[in-house]
Amino acid sequence: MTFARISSFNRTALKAALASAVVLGSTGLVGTAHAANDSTNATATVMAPITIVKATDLAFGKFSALTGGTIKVDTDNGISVTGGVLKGTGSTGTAARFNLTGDTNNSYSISYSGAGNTALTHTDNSTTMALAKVSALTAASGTTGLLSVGALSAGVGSIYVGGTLTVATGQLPGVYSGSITVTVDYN
Amino acid sequence: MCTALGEIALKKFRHWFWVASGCAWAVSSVAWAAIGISDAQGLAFGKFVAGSGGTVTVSPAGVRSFSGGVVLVPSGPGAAAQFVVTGDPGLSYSISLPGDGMVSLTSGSNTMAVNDFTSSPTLVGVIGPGGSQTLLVGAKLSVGGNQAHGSYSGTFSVTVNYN
Repeated sequence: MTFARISSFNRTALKAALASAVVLGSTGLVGTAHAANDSTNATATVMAPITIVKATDLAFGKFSALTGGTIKVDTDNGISVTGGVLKGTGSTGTAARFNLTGDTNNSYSISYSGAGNTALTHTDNSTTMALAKVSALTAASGTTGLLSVGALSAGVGSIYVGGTLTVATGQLPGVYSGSITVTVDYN
Repeated sequence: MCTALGEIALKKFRHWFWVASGCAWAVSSVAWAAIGISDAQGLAFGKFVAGSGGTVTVSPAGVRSFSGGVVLVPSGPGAAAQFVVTGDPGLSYSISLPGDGMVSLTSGSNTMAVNDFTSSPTLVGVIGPGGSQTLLVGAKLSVGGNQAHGSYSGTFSVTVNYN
């Protein structure tokens, strides 16, 4: 039946049908040719490396142990003793100072070797005194505790490290030394 | 004689009925809603120190990784780009990302190349039931040894097209 109907088209009707097909085809193309495009930003921040260099060693100077006690060097270089410890006349203390450079707009973490305590060892490689460290970003007095975070100002900064040394009664005379490693990393 | 008898709009499709001499011979459905795309979030490689150089890659999932001497800084974690593609629910579309060598980030006279663009969905997406789909885009950034520090930026575009 269908075939018979198609075959009965006259020539004019067939042309019209073809024309319609072309229109349909065009309409279909319009429908599927929609494309959309959008742009966005891409960003990256390259930071100046953070660096740390020791500028000054921590020194407790000369003292006598006598009945023992403590000797403290504050981050502002102030020195004080407790108990029987007797500071040497004219002897001064200095806090350690580390100088930093890096990116101003980022805080950094600070970690210290030996956690809170560092042992200073006599040249006999056996006798020790315990050092409880304190730190500050400025040469402040009355510093307690260890800072775990800092921030640079205009790309530079410092970390000051002092501490309290525990001196035993009759602590073996001699030269004691140890080392403190301070590590900084961007947060 | 074939003539257009009429059209009806049903949801988001337009149905054309063509009738010829008593025989309906064609029905055409034409997409009603154009596909669209808009950016919701830029691509961020975050903060890092260049060191001896290498690459920083952000995946479409927003996970950042590095190679070489680059040191990633945690406080600037980076993020994948986000686009929202809108159109007819259920329709699939193709995604065209920038090719290699086409995008770079600049800071003054300093540049870094962005290559290996990837997306999620990858090559073909499907508009969700609500008429949109989130398209996530990541890429790989090439960082030179001791790349000059600073804030770098650039732009890139994504094209979507109905299949």
